[in-house]
Amino acid sequence: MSDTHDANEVLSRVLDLVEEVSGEDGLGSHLDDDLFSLGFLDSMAAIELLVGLEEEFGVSIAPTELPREDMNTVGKIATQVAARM
Amino acid sequence: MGMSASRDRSSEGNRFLEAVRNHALSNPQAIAYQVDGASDVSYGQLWELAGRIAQELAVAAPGRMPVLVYGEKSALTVAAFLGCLRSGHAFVPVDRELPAARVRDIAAQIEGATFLACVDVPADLVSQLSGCVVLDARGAVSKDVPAPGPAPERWVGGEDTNYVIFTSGSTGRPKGIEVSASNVAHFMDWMQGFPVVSEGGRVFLDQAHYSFDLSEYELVGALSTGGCLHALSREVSEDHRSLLRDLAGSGVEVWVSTPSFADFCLADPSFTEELLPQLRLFLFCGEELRPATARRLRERFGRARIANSYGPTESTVAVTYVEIDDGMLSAGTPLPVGRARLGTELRIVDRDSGGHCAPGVSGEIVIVGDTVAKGYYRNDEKTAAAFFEDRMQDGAACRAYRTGDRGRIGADGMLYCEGRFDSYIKLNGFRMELGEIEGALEKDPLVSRAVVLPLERDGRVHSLRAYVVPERGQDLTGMDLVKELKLHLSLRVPSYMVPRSFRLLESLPLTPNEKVDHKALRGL
Repeated sequence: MSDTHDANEVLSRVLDLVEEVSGEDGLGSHLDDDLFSLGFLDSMAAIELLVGLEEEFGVSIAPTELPREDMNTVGKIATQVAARM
Repeated sequence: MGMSASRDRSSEGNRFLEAVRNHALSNPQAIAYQVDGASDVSYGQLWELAGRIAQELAVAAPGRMPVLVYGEKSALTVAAFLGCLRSGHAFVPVDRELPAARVRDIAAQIEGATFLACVDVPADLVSQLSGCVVLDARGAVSKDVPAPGPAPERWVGGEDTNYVIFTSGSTGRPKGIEVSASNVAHFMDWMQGFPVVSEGGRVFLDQAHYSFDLSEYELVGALSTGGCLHALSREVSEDHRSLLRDLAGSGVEVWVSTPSFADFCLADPSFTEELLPQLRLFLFCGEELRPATARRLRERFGRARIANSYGPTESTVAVTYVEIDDGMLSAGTPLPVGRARLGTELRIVDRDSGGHCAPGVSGEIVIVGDTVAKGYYRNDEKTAAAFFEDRMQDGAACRAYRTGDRGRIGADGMLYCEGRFDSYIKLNGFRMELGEIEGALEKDPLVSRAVVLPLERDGRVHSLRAYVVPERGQDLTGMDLVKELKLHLSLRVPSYMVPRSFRLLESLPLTPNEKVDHKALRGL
């Protein structure tokens, strides 16, 4: 899945989902910032996010599959999702 | 306090400590404590560590005042609890994760407090402890002196306070719940009759912070029956990879946690009975056990019993028990929390009339029995508002506690919990007063007004949101301000009380009678 248009769409839908789970709007200018150190995600929220990704994209990522540093920004989450679509 | 004065301490002793000592003497090699990154500690070693700490306390902390134990998931911290009891002191568990300001607020409530450190004390905390005698448990256990420990006559026993657990208070000051040695002994008698636990020598999951009385479930359950505590450090329990790796080798047989922690584990497909083949009892407390959680556990752990239980810290860990069966799961209704233990009677009371509710009718749950705590530490007013003297049905005088929980007794004779009458909430099993968070936010010079509301999904609180009116004339805006507010708040309250999301407002919406309009806030 290397098409730029699709990648952008995945990114935007992941952003929506992260904003929904974190309850915080305006993360669009923080795509590469660590969501955990900013306090927008914690370990419980991360689980809600994985459930949301499965519902939204049909992509199942087990919590143990990836270390946190591979899933801690909107950009990295989108990359992981796109790689599994 | 009331009836306590008339009882003789020495006649009842401390049956919990006696049980631990007996295991240490009869089976000193048996493993009492294991945690990732440290050597296993046997009963003999644990009792020896506790003796050395008790010896030190007997000299450095005369009198019988409560001792703050600042620690983490470690055998030394548990030894410090036992050492306090053996030197005649109640222990006050204080987790190292708590912010310094919170620890100070607790220490300030105990006159001339002794602060027993089991881990390094951060510099910002040391400066807050000017009124305390600070002792190092690691120093105490490394002294090269024989340590039989003080004689049992000095132990905490009977109506003496066994521990004081501080929880969120509505006024912004944490309040301490004072539980006696006799409360703990009565709770222990009941728990020793649980399936699997009653066999003795089982391995218990030890996950909840020692600052929460949920952890007394496994501390009392394991150590009084010669069992082993398999502790999870905070780092391990928050990261799925290390958590499941740790559990794989644990041999845990009795699982104690909040349902939220089980949900957290269930999120990974490898959390199954292949991972934990010895697991035979799930023991839940601290918040609602939802049918969905129990159902998933049943699918993945076909051999294990799933037990629900209920009880506020004010009545010593838990007072009801029920094993969830397929009938309850297929009923499509909320799960019961069970029937009262022997020694406890549950009453459902109408809050307005004070009269008893008929079976099936909802009201306030009142707990009467021999595990009802002494009260709130040094707070007669709050104690009198919630605790009173009553009689059991057989006429025996007994202490009673108005829980503030709403519930009813079903046609099956079991208790069903239905939420709270006040603004205290449970988030992932953590008990908190929204007013305390609002108060802490409003202490921030960046904040003019603040309201905190729980966000619910499927009838369950999943996170908190703060609505904040910032103080005028400051540079920070938007996300930079939110970041700063979260940071400031995390220095005042435990991290689980920091709202996940924030909304910044010009002003708070008001109802026609000038109260904050919560409904309008939720719509923002």
